[in-house]
Amino acid sequence: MDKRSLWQICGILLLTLLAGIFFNLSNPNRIQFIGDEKNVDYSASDSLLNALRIQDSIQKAADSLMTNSSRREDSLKLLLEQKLKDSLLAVQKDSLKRVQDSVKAAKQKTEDSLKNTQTQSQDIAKPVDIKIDFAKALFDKKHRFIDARDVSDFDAGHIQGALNIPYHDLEKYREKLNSLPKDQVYVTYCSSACDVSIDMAYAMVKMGFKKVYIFHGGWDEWKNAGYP
Amino acid sequence: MIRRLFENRNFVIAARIVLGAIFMYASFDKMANPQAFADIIDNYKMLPVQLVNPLAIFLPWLEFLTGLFLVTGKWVQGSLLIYTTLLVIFIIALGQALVRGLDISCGCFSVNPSTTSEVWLRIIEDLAMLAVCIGLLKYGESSDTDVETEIENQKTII
Repeated sequence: MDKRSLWQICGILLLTLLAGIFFNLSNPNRIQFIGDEKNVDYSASDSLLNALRIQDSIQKAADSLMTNSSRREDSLKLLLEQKLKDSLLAVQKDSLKRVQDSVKAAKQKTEDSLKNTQTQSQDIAKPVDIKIDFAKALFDKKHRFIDARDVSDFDAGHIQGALNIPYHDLEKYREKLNSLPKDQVYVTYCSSACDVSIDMAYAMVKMGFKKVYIFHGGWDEWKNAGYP
Repeated sequence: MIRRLFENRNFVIAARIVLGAIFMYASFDKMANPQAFADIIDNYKMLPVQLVNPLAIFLPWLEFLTGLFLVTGKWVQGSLLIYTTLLVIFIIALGQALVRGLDISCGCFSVNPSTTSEVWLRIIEDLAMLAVCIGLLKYGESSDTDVETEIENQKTII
């Protein structure tokens, strides 16, 4: 490389530097000169999973109380017919009241828990990063998974019931995506060494979807865990 | 034969203009949408995140100016050296993405992630352009040299 070429290179680099700075400062779509680090924040994943588990256990408790209540009611009715009507009626009333109270309390707790979970979900202004255990819990609850990989990758293997919307062909699939209900829970994923699930989640939020989760482990982690 | 081709003045000019026009065309969309281009660079997973935005801001301008100088025939030697270096970097970036199986958009001519771009096809294109660049650097006389030689010849004649 001769001296003249070196000067030319320096000149071009200098012009590039100046043009880049001035254009970026005047560009309405300008970006920061030094970008922020993309952090995967799993802090919400664990608390959401806990809320979901609490909600499940309360629901189970409420169900069992309801079953016990109806059984108890039946047996009390039989006794009522056979034996001392008046005295047993008082006992039955008392027992029923107690059971009904406990069912009411359980229902209240369930509603509170549901409200808390929903509030947490509704607060999602941007997609939330989640781990595999919460992703599995959402899968068990039959929430919709969106596979952002290309069709060939999807065909090679995907999470059971997932909907394939390749991010690289988003324009083609935009109508299909728009037809999905916006207020439901969605989980986006790709493989593991990819960012299309993140891009897809942010695109969905922009389109008006309210509850979008990003499952970073993707198909690779799901498959390794032996999930369907 | 290759040497004779690159010694043909018309071929050299045409090659310079085509190469320059390609880089200029490739830079427009990236300049207009720096954030989208930054996302694409980040997807290559080659650079620390602090370098992604500066590259998204300056690379399109480097492409544009290099292309412009090649088309206009000024600072050709320097432009060709930058062009060659950029092509080598692009080939490495695309190659590693292909090997690692990264599911990414190339971002070569458009920052629209929906644009279909076969990575291996882009590598072939870049290799072809690299071959032309090397040919121009090795055999082709730069426009600047031509002008200076012409001036020297005229001085001698006078």
